[in-house]
Amino acid sequence: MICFLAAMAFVGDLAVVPAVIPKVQEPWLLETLPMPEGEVLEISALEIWHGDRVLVATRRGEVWVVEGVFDGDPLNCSWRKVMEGLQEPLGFLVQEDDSVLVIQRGELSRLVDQDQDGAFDSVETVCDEWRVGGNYHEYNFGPVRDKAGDLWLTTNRAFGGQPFGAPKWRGFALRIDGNGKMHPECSGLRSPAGVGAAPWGDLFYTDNQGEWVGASKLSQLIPGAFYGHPFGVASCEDPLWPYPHPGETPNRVLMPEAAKLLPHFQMPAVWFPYDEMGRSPAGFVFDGTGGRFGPYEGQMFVVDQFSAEVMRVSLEQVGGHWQGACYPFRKGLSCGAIRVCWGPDGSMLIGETDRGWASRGSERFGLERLSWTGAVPFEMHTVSARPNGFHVRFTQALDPKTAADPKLWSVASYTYMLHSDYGSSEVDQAKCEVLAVTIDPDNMGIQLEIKGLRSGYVHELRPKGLRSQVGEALVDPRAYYTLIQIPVQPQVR
Amino acid sequence: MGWKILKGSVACGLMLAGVTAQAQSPSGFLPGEELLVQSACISCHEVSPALQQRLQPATAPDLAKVGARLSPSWMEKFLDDPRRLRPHGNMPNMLEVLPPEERSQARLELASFLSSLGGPFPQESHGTSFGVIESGRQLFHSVGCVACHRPFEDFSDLELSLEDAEAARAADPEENREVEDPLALAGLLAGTLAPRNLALPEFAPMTSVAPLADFLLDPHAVRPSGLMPNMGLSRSDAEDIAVYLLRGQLDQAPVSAPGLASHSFKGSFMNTQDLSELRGGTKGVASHVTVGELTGGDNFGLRLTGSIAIPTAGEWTLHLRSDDGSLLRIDGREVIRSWGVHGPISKKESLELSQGKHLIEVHFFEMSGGEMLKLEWEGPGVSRAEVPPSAFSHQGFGLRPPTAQAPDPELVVRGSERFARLGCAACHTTGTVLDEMPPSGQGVGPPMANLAGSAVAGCLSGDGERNPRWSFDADQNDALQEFLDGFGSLQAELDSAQRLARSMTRLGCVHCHRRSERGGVHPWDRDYFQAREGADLGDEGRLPPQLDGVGGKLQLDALHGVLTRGERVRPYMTTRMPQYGEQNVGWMAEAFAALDPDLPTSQESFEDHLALGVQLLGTEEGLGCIQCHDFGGTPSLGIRAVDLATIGDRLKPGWFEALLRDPGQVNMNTRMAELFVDGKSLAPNVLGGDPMAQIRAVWQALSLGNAMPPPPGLITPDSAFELRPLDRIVTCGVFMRDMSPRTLVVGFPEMVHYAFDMQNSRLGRIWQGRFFNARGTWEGRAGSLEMPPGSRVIDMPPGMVLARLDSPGDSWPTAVGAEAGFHVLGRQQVLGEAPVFRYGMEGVTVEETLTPVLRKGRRGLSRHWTVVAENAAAAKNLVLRPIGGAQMSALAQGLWRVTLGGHELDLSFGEGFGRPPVSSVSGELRWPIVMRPLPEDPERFGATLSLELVW
Repeated sequence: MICFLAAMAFVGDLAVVPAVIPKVQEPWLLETLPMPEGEVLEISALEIWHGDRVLVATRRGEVWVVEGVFDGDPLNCSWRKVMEGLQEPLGFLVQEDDSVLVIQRGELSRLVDQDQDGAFDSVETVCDEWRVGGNYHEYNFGPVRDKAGDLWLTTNRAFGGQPFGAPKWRGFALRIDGNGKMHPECSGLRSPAGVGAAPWGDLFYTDNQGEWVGASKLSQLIPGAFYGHPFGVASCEDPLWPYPHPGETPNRVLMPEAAKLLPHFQMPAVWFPYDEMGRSPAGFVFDGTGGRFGPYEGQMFVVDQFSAEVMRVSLEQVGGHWQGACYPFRKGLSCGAIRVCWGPDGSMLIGETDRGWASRGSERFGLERLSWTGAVPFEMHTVSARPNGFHVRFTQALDPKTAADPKLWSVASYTYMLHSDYGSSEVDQAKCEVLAVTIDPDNMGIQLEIKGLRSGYVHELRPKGLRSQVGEALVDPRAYYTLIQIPVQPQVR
Repeated sequence: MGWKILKGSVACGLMLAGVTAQAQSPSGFLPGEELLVQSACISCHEVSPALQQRLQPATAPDLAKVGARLSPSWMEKFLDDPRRLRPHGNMPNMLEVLPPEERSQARLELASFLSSLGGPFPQESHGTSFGVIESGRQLFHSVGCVACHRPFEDFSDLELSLEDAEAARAADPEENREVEDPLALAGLLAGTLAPRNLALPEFAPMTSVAPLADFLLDPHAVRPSGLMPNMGLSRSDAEDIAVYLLRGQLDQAPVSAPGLASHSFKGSFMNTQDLSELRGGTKGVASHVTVGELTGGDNFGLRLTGSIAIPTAGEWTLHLRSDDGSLLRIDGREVIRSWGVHGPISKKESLELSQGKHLIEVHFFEMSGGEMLKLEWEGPGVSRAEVPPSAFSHQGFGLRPPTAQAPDPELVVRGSERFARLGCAACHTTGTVLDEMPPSGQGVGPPMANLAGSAVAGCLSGDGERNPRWSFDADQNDALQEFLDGFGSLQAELDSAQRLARSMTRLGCVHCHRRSERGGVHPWDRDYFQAREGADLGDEGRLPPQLDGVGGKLQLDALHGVLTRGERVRPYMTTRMPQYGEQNVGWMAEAFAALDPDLPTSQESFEDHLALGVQLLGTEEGLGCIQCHDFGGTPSLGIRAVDLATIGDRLKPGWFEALLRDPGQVNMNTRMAELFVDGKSLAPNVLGGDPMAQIRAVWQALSLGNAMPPPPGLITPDSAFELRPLDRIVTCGVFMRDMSPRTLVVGFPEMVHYAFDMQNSRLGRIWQGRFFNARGTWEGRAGSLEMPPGSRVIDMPPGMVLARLDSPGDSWPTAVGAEAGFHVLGRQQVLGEAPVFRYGMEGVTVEETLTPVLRKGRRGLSRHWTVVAENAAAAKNLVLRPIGGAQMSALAQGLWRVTLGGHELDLSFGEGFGRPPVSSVSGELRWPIVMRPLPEDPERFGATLSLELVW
């Protein structure tokens, strides 16, 4: 259980959390950064460059540098266009030499500022071994670096006409080695709009609900694995695919059944129940701010393109499988968000566009920043699985009188269908009986003993009437734990 | 100052006299000649072939299908006295040659025969409504019919409903109105003709809706000589006019019919206020307020009109629910407006309504996706519910054609014989064997040359026993006699001016257009020439243009376009340029061009200021042309003057120059703004404010036609996506049609542009003018296959430019990109500067860049390659092929020409092309690349090459 202990380490930083601050203060401050007038900056890639410059790519193929975001008033930031003519640049990776990898429709490229004037002057082709069919939906996401130093991309399936033919490797994760050679690694992706590396090196991606994707999800990328969408599976007959063929996708089976039928089927780490937790998860980051962003160090933040919100995810590895829970975090962005990165000061930058897929929010595009004010809201911090239930840690000490009542807890479980229909409702629903509640000695957590845990099912936890020691209610009493593996031994905390 | 109905009948008498009073002055023809031509005398009186062209009359109507058009009883009446039923017709009374007692039988026989041609005459009633009559009434009085035909109503009466107008006229009898002489009008411009006022026959006993509409749609099918022109009507418009003209066939009192009259229209109505202005469309009846049978369609509009019966007086709330837009009018007042593109939304309004019928109008449009339309009511004693069909009604009735019976076959045969005997076939074709018989019969007279001094004996004698009766009056008789007396000395050939003058008079052109101080719209008719709403152009926006110098104004093809192809550039005019047929007026284009001199253009040397010309058209530091002129179908910012994109193809440059220098000089009535007052331009910061330089720059821009970049300031759905390389190079990555999904389009301020296939490292397309609009790539989910919007688009021939060949004449590889052994290395690109594309093949790296060139007023691109080989082996056998698969011809040393996509592309070779080319088996020219050791690294080899493409 080494891995589990590693996961616990992310939870362990609670000690640094400041004392409770009066509730009047918003825990996180949202700022909308001004943009140059008349420009349409539909942000599609977002990274920090040269330490404190914000590097932005837009769906129109431009690259901009924003300076002055972190020194004083971000409203005084300045924008400079430094490249144009890219095709759907949907992701950056800043390299140690300050060159920037950028993914386009047809190639992975490297942007270089040879003359060090702060603007790029060349676009070097790193790899273009895949082809483009000319369908709008042939997006690519990434790149992200794996432990061995290779680069990974995810490719979106096409929807509709491909006037230049139907190329291979749509709906795949592709690895690009140090020689620029392409190696397909994972199949069955749909709309993998976010891809990233965990601090411990494993790669994850988000996928959007739709046909063959019953609910939006976060999954670990594992070589040879199949993620459920048969669109691109024919490519697996190509000799370039080094793994066993994923097999024929069964239609209309429960996800846990699919996992049994398909030996290479990869169950998700987290399902995002539709509309409860956004509709279109995209980019994500792991909190490595050392507490500067708040009490969730080590957890993951995922932005959603439809619901203009940031969601929170905690992960743990159980039985070799990364899984965990998602929680509401911050709604009310100005526009649907697809990209997110950390600023040097531990604030979160969010790149937004509603283009093509209408979103919540008042704007069509934007760049926003979330900074922690130091206030700690009363929230469920981490839900972890136990052989007989869940362990829930909170951000503040509990009122032991209210917390100990099992009737406060409503726990339901459900899963999804693997099928060709667009999305799946929550199926095979059941209520779980909470048998006992035990409060942690530090008053910051509880053990829930639950009857009827089901592997392969989302477990939705809703405490009602729970109060903190100072009498606060939870900001949002919802957590959704995707229980793929049930721990087999009692865990000792 | 409306045209008075009774004046019409007086002027009608004047018109007959008009032949003698007015015909002489314009063309020098004796009035008798005009009358002789008009009366088709040479059909029966032979003339020499040389004179035939001069005296050729209008062809008489083709009777091949007359049985389906005209009622037999009407034809009988007509034959009895043609001039009585059609005073302006040229048909003589042919029965005069028969004994009186035989005439009645002859009429019956002839009518029977004619009825058999294409008959039977249809007997079905035509269902219609007051709305249709009203539409026809407005069309008749607005599209230009009244330029030749007597209007039925005062213009001011057209604002009233037909019923009200008729009532008003009944209350104010015409007798009380003063009769004036149209040519004695104070202030009348010299040379203006009296209104033509050709009286229309009474149609009700004559024909029915379908054949009359057919005739209006294609009058030349029956009357090939074009005297009755084609007015460019839609079928629906033609039917409306026919119904209006035949409203006398109303066979019963108007009936209240259930449901609402519906008119549906195709098109996008998102940006219109409502559908009130739309005419025609598909007509039908809707049982209630519903999308009905149009459900499932996209891009249509629906107008429902009629009455709604309110059961009880009181306050009523009406709920209108629609997807997309709709509006509701009650008794002419807008009650609910829910216009715009949206999903099903309801709007409601409450109003006091009296018991009984109220006029209702619902307008609706659908853009795409789902659609619905529903009207609900709630009021005294009625809870909210959809308004039931029983509440709706509209005015409807039928038009019943004149009764006809199948002709007696025996009478048909006898009629046919009589038709031949009378010589009717001398003028009329029937689609029968009669057409092949030579002119003969009782009506056919002696040769024309023999008629001098013979008046007492022939047609002019009034002796009906021997001759068709023409009903010429004494003046006309004299005029004809005078002409015939001088017939022997008649000159056969007419010159262009004479021909034009005669045709413009005969066809009625002069009743709309003024030329050589003659003609133009008579003041009495001017009100009927209206501009569409919002076209604030004064008389220029409603009256047909004057034609002085038109041959020097319009390019020949534009003249043909307006004369024979129905091309209209003045959408703001309700009147339409009638079409008389290629065979009748096609020659006029050349005649105008020959008669009218071209205006001189300034002779200064060519300077290329295309981009500035585009700027001058716009509102940002420009002359602001788009303030008033439409641009490529996009409405102007203000009034809707002629579309700028049509001007380069229509006007001659000299005339354009003169117009801009001084608009009043070339066209006295224009509202075109003076742009250069006292030699000072309204745009002082462009080209130093030099008027002539600006005019030339604007003309350069206009010459691009639809390929012109949209001028700055123009607002279109696309304009937010327009890429304008004004002061720097602009690039954009796109899917390019028939090329590559990884294409970089590169636009230069010099207005020459290219598309580079980045996947296959090859130049794919080059073009000039407008650079690119990125809407298809940047809006919504996008992903459009793009094409350049500019002009002179050339697709480069397939294949790579570079290859390694054992022998330079070997067959060239057809593969491109990776399949041809190339790999993409990327590009150097500094924002705003020309990209340098980098690609390679084994052991070889290539850098390619393109830059604009201007050569003697032509634009082009300079291509430049730097080739580096890693070693001596890799440097071998490299061959460059500038243009694959095409035959090049040498123009001069180092200068070659090739035709690609209909454009002449000149290639001028520079560095690296010093040696003579090698010709392949297929005749392509190729240049082996001479690779030399690099000075900095002698192990490696390199070459630079450059050439220019100018087109």
